[in-house]
Amino acid sequence: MRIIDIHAHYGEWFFPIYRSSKKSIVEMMNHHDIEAVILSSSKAITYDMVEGNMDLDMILDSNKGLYGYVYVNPNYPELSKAEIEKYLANPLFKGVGEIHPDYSGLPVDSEESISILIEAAEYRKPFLIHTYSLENVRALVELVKKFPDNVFIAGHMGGTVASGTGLSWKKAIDAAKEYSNLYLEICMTLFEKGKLEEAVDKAGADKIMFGSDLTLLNPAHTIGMILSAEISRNDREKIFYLNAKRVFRL
Amino acid sequence: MVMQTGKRRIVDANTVFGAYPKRKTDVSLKNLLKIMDVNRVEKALTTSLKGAFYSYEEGNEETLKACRANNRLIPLATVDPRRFAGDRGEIENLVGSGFKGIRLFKDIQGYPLDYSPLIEIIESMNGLGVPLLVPCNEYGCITLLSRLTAGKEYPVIVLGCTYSLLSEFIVSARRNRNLYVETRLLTSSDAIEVLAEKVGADRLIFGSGILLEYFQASYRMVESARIRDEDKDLILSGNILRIIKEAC
Repeated sequence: MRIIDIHAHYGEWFFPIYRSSKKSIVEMMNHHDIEAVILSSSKAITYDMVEGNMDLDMILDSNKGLYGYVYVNPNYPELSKAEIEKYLANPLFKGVGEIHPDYSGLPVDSEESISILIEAAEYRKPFLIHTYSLENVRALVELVKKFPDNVFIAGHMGGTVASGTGLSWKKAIDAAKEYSNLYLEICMTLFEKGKLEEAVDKAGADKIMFGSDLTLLNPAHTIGMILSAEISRNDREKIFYLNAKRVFRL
Repeated sequence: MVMQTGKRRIVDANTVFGAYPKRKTDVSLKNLLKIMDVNRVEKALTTSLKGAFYSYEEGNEETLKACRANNRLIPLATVDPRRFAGDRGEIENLVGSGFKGIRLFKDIQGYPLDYSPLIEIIESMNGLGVPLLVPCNEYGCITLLSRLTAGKEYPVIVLGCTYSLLSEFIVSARRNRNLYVETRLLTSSDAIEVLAEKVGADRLIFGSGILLEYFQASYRMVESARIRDEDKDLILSGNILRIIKEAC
């Protein structure tokens, strides 16, 4: 089983998670047969964009399958544009992400966010966007429509709503079906049974990619979901590996 | 892809069956048994969702009936504190009728932990010798649960503990020897290892959340954890069997 993990992180967390070093990440990759990971900096997302991107840049290594996302913070549009210019032409940086509206406090379709994305869009690299609510999905769809020549990925596939109805992931699936430039990435804490089958059925296995949220989350969790889902072997291979290889040109 | 559950004994402490009104999904008893077969689950503690969504009395009857018809199923009763009027004999009767524990659906029913009917249930269970299973999914919940059950003579299993509640469980479990944690949402990259080291593998209980969740998502976190094989055996079956006093 070959795996490419398109949603991973480098850096510390404010929880008792101690496996976060470059060495630990490589060990986890080997343990779970993960060939490549695309990381964003937890420090950049939760605290300091510039310092976080710099930390990440220092550990990227194609020989070990370690690639990166440039993180941008819409509260600092000019600084974000400078980060894009600094890193995004580097082939080790495969995209922009994980753009996180909950940490920045700004929706991804805000004026500030769009001004940054206009700059980044020229590089034609995918955008990984955190989605964990109906509002997150709505804002992402606005971007997808505004930038039809760029690939967007709904991180967490819309996420889970407390009501247990699956409304946010169902909305993300519908959007991925409607827009050819929108993909789904499937990691989340709570895997409501049936969501992956529904995504494959409606959006198609070609539009779904494996992500783990490593090191925040354990890759075994999402791998297990994919193995439990009632989908074909071919679809699993697309989700685990082939789609990411194509989309990220790995 | 083959299901990799190997030869280890698996007893799943968190399963449900019945009907699910929130979205279309097959949560039938037949499907529960099928998924147990596919994943080589030897036994499952289970509760009818009728008790979570509709009537706990009717739900408990349904649970007992299902478990009497299939000896791989171990019945957990539920009580809805929104309806429970404080009759302590009611809890005793449930245990007397064959239930091996009391499972709450606080996550579905929405009441707080600091809630008189629930506190009465907690008090009523003392001396009955069966575990109480309580969902905790917000900051402070485990802390309060630990206070409410300190000094009681029965195990308390925290359901749905996530990485954000990990430190709260660790500190609470060191203070309160009654506390156990279900592994289903211990999803951070090293949560199983961290807990095994900080509080001991004998405090971890495997639960999958089937039929509402995917079995392998929770199973593989335990199976792939970097802990001793003996500890995996405790987590996947030994601890819960000891707690419910089933023959090993």
